[in-house]
Amino acid sequence: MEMKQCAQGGHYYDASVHSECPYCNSINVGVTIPLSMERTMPLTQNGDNCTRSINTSGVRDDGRTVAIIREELGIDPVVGWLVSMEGREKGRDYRIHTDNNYIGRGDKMDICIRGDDTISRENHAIISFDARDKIYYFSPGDGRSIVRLNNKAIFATTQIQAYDVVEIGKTKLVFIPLCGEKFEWE
Amino acid sequence: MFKSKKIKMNFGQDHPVLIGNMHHIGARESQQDSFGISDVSNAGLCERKGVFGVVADGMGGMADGGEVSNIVTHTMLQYFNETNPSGQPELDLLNMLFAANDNVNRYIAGRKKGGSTVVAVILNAGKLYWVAVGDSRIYLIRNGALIQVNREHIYAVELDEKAATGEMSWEAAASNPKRAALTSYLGMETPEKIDRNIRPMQLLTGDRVLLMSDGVFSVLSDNEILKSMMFEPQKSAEALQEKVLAKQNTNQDNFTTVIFEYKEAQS
Repeated sequence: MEMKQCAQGGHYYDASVHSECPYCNSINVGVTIPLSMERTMPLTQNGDNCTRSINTSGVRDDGRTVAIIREELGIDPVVGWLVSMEGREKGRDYRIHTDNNYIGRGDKMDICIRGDDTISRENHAIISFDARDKIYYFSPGDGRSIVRLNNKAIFATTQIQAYDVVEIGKTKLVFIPLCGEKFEWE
Repeated sequence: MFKSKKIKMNFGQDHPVLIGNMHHIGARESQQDSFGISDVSNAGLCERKGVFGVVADGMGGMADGGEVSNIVTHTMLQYFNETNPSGQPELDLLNMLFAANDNVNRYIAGRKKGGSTVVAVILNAGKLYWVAVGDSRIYLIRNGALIQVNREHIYAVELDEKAATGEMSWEAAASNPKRAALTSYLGMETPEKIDRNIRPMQLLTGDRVLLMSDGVFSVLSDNEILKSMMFEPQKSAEALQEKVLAKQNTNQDNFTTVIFEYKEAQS
């Protein structure tokens, strides 16, 4: 056994077994993940940090660390979808929840679009649902490339309607709202 | 990529603390536990501030549990490394906890909600200082006995108190589905409850201090934990990990343990 302590997080590991700290890797602290790793993830991946596809079971495992008594969370219901119509994940749907949904290709994004290098890792764009006024918005984020709405470049927050098409990197997504005149969550 | 420093497992008389750790994702899809230990090979740091350890368990029922627990351990470790000690380690611990809470709140602002538990200790000049929020645990092992140091901030505690005072029946308290929910955690504006010692606890040679996420103690009995402690700390940590994995729990939570063994400096 050749114990080392990594400089990043102060974790101990056996350097005769691991060439770098195995614990830092597992939590991705400032570590650049090769794209191939992201690609090999199954599409149905049910990670907590990633938007679920609607046909994936959303049942929480018991025994997870959960909050809260005083600040009841209730459910975080779906209020719409983006559906990929062009790009690496063509055919896939991404759930939209209330308030801001950050879009990027990183795992911790609300809407995580994998495999499109032209999408920034974090906050390339934001899709929002204002539950009070029942309005959906699309906003550019910090992404390097311009985002488009129905083929027009967007530089400010813009209201969006059903079947509008947003373009992020090389990915085109059609927007399908759930809440509106005909339906709302009580 | 990051640098690694080679350290000796035997710290000798200059480093009277032995260390072990283990950290496993269990059967979950993401690792939401985080942990950190200060640089024990840095004699100056040990001399001035002692040794620091932290374990945080991000809340899986909420967004970004892994990221949040990470922010907690990194903020506290950084605070320990970079802030001049006040001479009162118990206050330093409290301040680093508030710093972590601020950073968590900054991170989750405008996003989905998030939170994390935390247990942290400073071992300095033969004394133990600790702080805890949420349902992770700090144990002291002395003379073969396992002693839980902190109380957990879970709803079960309040339910059982109500049952004891007759406010509700024991059955209702025991069957409440929210018994395991946290009543205090980092990510609240201010954590509602913080457990800590205001007077330092004197350590004796051979004492061990364990920081643990609930993925360990919820599946292992006290006896199983103690049996893993027969070896040097790192071997003990590995033994603990093997015991948890041997349960082959299909729903095994993330699990993490940091072990400190205190050795009185030889004069």
